[in-house]
Amino acid sequence: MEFQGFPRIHSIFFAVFDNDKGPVVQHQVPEGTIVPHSPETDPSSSNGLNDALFCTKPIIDFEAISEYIITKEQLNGRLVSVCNNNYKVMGVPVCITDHVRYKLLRTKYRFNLCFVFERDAETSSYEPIVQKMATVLEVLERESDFLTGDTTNSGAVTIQNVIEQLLEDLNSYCECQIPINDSNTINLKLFPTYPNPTSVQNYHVPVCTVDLSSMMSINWDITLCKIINHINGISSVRKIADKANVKIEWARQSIEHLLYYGCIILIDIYQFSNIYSIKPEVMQLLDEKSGLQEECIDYVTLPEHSPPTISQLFKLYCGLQHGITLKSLITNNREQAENIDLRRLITFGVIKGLIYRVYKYPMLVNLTTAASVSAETLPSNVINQNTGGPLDSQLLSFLDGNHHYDEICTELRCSPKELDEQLGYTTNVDSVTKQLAGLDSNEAGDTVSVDSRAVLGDSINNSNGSMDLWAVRFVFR
Amino acid sequence: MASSLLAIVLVISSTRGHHYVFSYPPDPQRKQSHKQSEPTSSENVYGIAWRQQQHQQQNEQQQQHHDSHSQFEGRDSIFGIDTGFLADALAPKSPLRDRKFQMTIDDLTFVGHPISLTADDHQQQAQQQPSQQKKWQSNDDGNGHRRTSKGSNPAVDDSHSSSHITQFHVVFVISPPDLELNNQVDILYDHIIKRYTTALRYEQLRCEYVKREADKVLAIKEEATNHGTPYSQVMLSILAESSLARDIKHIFTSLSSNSIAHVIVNDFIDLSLQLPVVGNQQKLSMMLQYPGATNPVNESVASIYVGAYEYDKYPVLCPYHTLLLLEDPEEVLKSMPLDSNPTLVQLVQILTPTQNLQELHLLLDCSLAQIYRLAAHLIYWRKAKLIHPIHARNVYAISPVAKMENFKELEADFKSHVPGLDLPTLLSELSSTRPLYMITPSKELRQQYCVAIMYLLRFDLVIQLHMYLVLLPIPKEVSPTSTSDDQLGSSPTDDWLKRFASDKAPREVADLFQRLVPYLNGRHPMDEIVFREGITRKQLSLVLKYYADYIVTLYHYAN
Repeated sequence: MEFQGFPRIHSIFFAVFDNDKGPVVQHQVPEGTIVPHSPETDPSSSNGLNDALFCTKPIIDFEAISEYIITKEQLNGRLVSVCNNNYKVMGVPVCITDHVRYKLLRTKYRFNLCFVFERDAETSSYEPIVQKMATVLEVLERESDFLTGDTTNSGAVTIQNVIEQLLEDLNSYCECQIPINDSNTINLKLFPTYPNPTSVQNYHVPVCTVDLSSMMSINWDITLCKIINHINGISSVRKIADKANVKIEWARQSIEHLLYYGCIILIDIYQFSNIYSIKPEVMQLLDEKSGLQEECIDYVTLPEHSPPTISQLFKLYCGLQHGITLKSLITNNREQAENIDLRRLITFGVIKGLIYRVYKYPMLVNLTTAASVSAETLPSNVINQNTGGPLDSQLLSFLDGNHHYDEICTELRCSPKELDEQLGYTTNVDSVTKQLAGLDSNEAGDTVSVDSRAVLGDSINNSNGSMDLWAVRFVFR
Repeated sequence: MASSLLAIVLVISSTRGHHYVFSYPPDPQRKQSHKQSEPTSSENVYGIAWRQQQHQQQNEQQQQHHDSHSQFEGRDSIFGIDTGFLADALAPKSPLRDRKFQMTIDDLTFVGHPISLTADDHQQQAQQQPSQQKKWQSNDDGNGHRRTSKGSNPAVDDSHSSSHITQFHVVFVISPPDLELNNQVDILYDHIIKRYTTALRYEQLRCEYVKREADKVLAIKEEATNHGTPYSQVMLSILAESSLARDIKHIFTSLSSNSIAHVIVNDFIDLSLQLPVVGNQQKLSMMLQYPGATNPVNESVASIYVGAYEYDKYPVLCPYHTLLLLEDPEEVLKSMPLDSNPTLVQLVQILTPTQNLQELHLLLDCSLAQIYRLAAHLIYWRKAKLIHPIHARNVYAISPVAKMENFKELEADFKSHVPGLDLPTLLSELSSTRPLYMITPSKELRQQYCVAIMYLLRFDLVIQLHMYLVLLPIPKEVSPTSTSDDQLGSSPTDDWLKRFASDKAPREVADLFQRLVPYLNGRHPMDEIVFREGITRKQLSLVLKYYADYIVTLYHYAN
């Protein structure tokens, strides 16, 4: 989601509880936007919003919402917002109890500094500001009677001055600095709110979208500083943590930070055994106006080689299919790919959303019952029918079909090739599974299973109990 | 969306004050994000840190609170907020009534549509009241237990039934993730709140339904308070007694499980409520986006080709599409009202995912437009999805967003639908870009494999990889003439194309090739080309054979 900019503040007002009149608006900018009772002209009329831009017409009927502004005890100190037809009012009701100072106010001073936005405004970024202003005003009042003190003293900053500057500066500059007295200054700055990043996994590979090392300063987090030089678009988070010699959790957290601020993109580990598939978006590559063509050619051409044509690149991308590994793509297109950095071709396709990775998920299957195995009911000693050898117990918990090769290899620190050997994955595994597919339906299948049972007959007897046959299936998704 | 709905609350105002009637669930809890429970919580580190901390503190407070009063949790407070206070806060003054109501307290947002019952309504009520009260009492007669308990406590009865109801408000409490609030509020309000509240208002004006139900609930609660009954037990009797409470429970559970709620308000108004999936779901390409990638190109291209358009995200119906029922036809028929459209019933009965809509409309003897309307209806109400007819020559692959977390369950269900095959093996066979018939071990099993694919398509476990064709820009050296417009991207003249075409293939094939050129831009699946041009697949493959050097075949999911 792209950041849309900060919503405009339409009004700021300061409300207090008055002993005689109840909740009242004491100060407001622009003047006249908040009215005590229903205004004669209905604020919900069609041109209400337009007029509000010039802030001449009333936009809030205070009477209707006052119970959410000066509230009961329950809501004090909490961020409360309420909407009328077109506007959203956001504030934090505050109540200070002091028997001596507020004797005339029934010992309680209640106030709320409220911000008014359009109803549909995305106000997340203002929430910390509203909260902070409530805290600051409360402290100022406790320390120096800022809100209830004598305001006749000219030159002193009043709450009216504060809200005027707040409205002006936050709307124009997204930040503001208001000196209150010798010892207090209000500093505010709006920060964009982004959606929370997805959690980073050890097998993710971060790719920088900005030059991080040039932005780095001495004040940055020490873990972040350590790992930044190791982010190269090739190493996984695990590898980065190893190389930088930092805790893996901290590395993940640092990467999440960078992801939140859009400094990196997470991609998959580049390996020759990888399989990718194209997305409909791959057609964008043939759109001459998008600028994608030049960008792609620039990015993927090997140094000191003549640049490839876009047809050549397009054909290579379209060669990425389910069932075709990068290795076989290269072997089939050796001449086509001569002047191309294949790793960069893949990275470009992945980042631009032209292609996606098809992961390999191994899944342990009980051949006897022809069913998969859940993590809870894992057997302890499993002979893999694909290889005839036992399966490593460490590996077993990963074989429920929800862990892909990148994850397993990263966790167990092994190569995909080693994992292939251990699990018994061969490129012609298809033909093997094809025979086994009809296991319960055709006779040939039955004989296969009977045969293998016969071979293992001894061990069945020895382990006094049912001995199931196991194999690993590979699901590509 | 489904997971951010926390509770539904009913509040009424009468001449005696504001009453918090009940909430479902009785003791709602904030959703604990799974991240927070992790030891290496990273939730607190972003811009929203202060709020998160606050919530945690509140949750802790709530937890303490919870421990001390667990028996009555939900009766006196929900989410740590006093229910008496909520009754006041959720009964707004008249300027905020009869319109969308939205209030947020920290992370909790309350959305509703408070209905004020005006003076005119009061008169109406007053006229209707005697008869209604009689009915209410006669109902009560049938329930001996209730009557005796009431008899012992006549004051309770009196205090609730003699007052006028001035306002009622069904409030939905949600706690959506950052930046999703406005969207979720709008969807919930438009599709659920407005409609349900309108129905309740109608029934209240017709026969005091809301008042009657609220009185029932309040009476049960008061009686329970006097007896010190645990609130969970009280809730059971509320649900047993009040159809309004049952409806609200049903709506809550349906929305939470992201399904359709069907309620008959007061046995009178038939209402189907759902947060529509059509038009709100993310496209597959967006879901496949890598974390952090923004893909600006994507958007610009979309706006060029499709334009910003209200029904942008709705599927486009074509004659070569078909419908795949998401439930068994008997189930679908059962869920339809008795007076439903006979053609719709017929359509559901004869629907098979191997016949396209064009064929179906001939079979049903109604217009294609009518079939479209029925299809759209079935899709909107999640009874069917739009697919290309299932065929053994199609290519299927496992969906990259397939949900396999509950694989055991899925497997068992699959077994009951397709007894002959086992799921893991079938899935492992769908690993390459090959037509289904090449995967099927024998011709006899082909039908079974098609049934299996049908099942897998239903649950979004597999996707069809469609074949698209792209005519590449033809290099200069192959061009028959070296005119200025020799790049195919800039639409060559007919004359030039003709010469190029006839250079490469016999006349018939060349003619056909020229006819097909407009489709060779990667945006038309093969099914469409064959359907629109009325050609056979053989003819098409002949074209592909002769122009193999210039046409690229692409296999990908339909966007």
